[in-house]
Amino acid sequence: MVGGGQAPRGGHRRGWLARAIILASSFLVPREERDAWCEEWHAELDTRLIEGEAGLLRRASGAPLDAWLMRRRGVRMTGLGKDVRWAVRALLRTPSFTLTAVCTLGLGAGAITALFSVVNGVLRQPLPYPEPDRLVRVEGAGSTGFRLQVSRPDWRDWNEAQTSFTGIASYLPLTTETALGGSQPARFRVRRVSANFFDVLGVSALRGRTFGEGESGRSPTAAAVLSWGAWQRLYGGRSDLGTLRLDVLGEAHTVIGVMPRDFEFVEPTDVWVLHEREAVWEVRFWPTFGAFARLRPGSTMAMAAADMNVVAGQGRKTWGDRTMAVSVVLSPLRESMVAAVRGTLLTLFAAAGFVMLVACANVASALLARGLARAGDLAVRRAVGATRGRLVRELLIESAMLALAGGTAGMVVARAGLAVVRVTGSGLVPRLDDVRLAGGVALFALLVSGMATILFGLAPAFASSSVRSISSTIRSIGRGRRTAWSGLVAVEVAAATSLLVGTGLLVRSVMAIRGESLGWNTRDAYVVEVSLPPSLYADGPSRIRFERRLHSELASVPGVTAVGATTRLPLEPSQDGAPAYTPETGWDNAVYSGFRVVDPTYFEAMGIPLIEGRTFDASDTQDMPDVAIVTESMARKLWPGEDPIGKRVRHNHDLGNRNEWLTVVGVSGDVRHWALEAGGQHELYTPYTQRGEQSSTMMYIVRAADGARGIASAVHDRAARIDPQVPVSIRTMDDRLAVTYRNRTFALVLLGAFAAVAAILALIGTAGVVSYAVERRRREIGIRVALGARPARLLLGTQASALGPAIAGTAVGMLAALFLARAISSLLWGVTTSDPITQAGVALMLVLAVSVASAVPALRTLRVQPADVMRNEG
Amino acid sequence: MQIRMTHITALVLRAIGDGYRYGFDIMDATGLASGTVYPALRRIERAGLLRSRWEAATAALDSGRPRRRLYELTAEGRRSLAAAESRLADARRFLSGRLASERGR
Repeated sequence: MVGGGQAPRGGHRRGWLARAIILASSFLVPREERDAWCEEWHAELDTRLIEGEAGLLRRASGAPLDAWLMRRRGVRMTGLGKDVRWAVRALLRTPSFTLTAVCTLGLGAGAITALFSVVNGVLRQPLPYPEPDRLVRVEGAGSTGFRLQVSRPDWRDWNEAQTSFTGIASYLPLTTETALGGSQPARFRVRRVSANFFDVLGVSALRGRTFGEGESGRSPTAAAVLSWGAWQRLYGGRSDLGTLRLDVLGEAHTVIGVMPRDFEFVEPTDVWVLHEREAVWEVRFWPTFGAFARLRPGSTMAMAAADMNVVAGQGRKTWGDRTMAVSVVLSPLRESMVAAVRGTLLTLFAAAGFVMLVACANVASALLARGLARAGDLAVRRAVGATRGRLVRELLIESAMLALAGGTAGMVVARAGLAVVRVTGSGLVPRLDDVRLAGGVALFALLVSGMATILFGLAPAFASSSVRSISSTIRSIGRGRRTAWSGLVAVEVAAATSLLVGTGLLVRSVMAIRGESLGWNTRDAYVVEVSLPPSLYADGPSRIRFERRLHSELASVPGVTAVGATTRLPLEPSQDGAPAYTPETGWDNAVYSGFRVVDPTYFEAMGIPLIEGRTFDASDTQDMPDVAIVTESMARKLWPGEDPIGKRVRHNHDLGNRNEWLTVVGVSGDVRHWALEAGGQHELYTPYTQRGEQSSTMMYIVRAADGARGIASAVHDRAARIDPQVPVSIRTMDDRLAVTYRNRTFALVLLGAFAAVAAILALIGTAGVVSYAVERRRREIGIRVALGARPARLLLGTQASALGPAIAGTAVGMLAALFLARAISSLLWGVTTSDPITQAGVALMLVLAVSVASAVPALRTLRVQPADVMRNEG
Repeated sequence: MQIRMTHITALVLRAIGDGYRYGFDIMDATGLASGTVYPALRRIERAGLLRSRWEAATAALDSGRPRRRLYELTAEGRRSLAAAESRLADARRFLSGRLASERGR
């Protein structure tokens, strides 16, 4: 077509890119005009080549636009547009097929897109701080290698002695405090941090400044940094920061800065203050601080690790057993932040992949069936002269349209899925707010679904490649895809099986945990939380007065049967633990134990049994000897075989306060304080009347009679009656405890949803296969009915086409489930990864469901009339 | 078919009127890019102001190059070009007169 034969060879080489552009563009040109269009462009190009012109690329650069405009100009439908219209019409003619296929592809593509977006945003995106790769988590390691947080004296020593970091920052767990300063008292999420916290992170304030180097605990005025949200809420975004005062943690703080709106560290926080202003944390044997550091330029992780171990070794030499940290462990900060959810997220991502697999298999088998139904149609067209290319092109476009629609539906599903992940994972999965739908994976999902639809959508075009009789075409297609069908059913059932087994294991774990006794009674209990502003309630006696009044007010609410108070509810995050020891055990054999301040009626209100001795009472006042109650297992550990009553014990948590020996007056039942999974935990209780100054936050356990109503509003009224400056919150005990079930709930909700989708799709797929098996064997069935075959046998015969592969799929799925179960083993409790009850249950359920799903279309066998079959034969 | 006499249309018509008859030659004459010239040629041809044909293969072979498509003005094309040029001349006169009078003030 191109008369460029006379052009010098060198010219050809020079112009190859320009030629390629023209060739590629030519496909945009309507076919009737394409040859002329190509010839014109090539001729111009060749002429210039012969004349030795350079810069041909620039000349050819207009070809795509020219070609595109040629295409758009056509008033009548050009090739592609016509085919697309045909394809859409063909799809709309079979709305149930199209709708099912689009929804199926949408579910698969949506699931994988949503989960990949989460994995990408949470696990792969760098932290939103400058040079995030240089941020390092700093942890201690105890004598047996267990990871520890850092105590404040250790942190200070390390920060001063190290040379590898620009600094080591430390922080405490988030606490909720009542703050005064805005128009009304508010409950604030407070993070206590070191002065270099923001500098090490590398972020600066939006307004004002962050803490300065000199702003240690000793400076005369306390400084606070506000979050953008708190600044707006409390001060309406006023810009005269220097004049703003915030009364929190017993000190008037000057607001020195406001952080940018999107700044976040681990959890949403309202205000940052310096932990160095509180002496209580100055205990070397009390590792409660989180720590992270920023590598100095030129310093590497390995160098820093060597440096830090020298530093820690020095500390160990100086302080001996008084520090718990034997060595230091460094890890990338990003990894340590997501370590807890990493496994769960990756497992869920894999599960979403399974859903995608089932969806593709399902659509593929539906396309095969559709192809079968249209084979006759295609054979006729082939016979009257349609080229194979023509048919392929049509089917290709139809498949592509299907994939495109499925992908679009997938984006909608992904959006909804992401919302579900955000809700169920909030507070559990960090950085969820930053997660955006990943465009790349949406494209990938589209490609996968596109490949599946195109591969299986094209099958009929190739089957009709040679001109044969129409009926033989149909028959040959039917034979070829029987294997494909069986395989697809097996794949679907296998994926559904493994997801169902995983879900079943999680369900059984949650049931096992729920069935376990926590050591106290959670039913019909409310938790009222109060934080006394230290500026209004500075000393022990005033707090004790408030607690007594609130106690009696709460007790007088109609329907309330018991009220008790504690500083910290069992099983909630940030439990305080520290070593406890007796004169006999000494430091060396100290036991790690929790520490709580409770009031005399706490045990009664919680339903915790008193095993021995007495509870606290009014005689335990400030001027009487300090007393304690210990749990049964702790008493057994500290005084094996002895009567613990009257024994003396000291708790490290108490050190900052009085450092007295406590006399044990009672032994209580064990409670699951730290984790659902661990029983027999050590706990030491001290009376509020002696340690009331310990904590400004109290929780009141309010036990209500059966069916009592209106407790919440009554509680708010009574609290406001005592002091309107002190806000209270009230929630049911179960509600608060839901947090502790969250990691399992999260995995359960998502895995359960995936399993349900996969199972439903697999059943639809199975029913479809049987349905077409009936179609395919109509003739045979008709003959057999005519010859007097028993209906039941015929029924079973058609069902077998699905049941066989389904059973094989179940077996494969069981094996896959073992891997899945191992991946989620950290969430399992009370069941083994190969729990036979779950496996057998799922297998039985699936086989039953497949039988039912295949029976429905198989029943059509019975309606086959021999006469109809014979009449249609031809 | 009607066509708007744009700056580009006028330039392309003028170039062809001046004897530049091939696509790339028109590009050189007008200084316009290929992505402008070719669509303009197609547009103007459809409007009936141009006519295109393949040059004789023998002529092309004689000069050792492939045959090219050449463009010529139709009668209507010549009329349109003349009209456009006279309008342009009017405009130029008008503008320069206006400017002269302003300068004189």
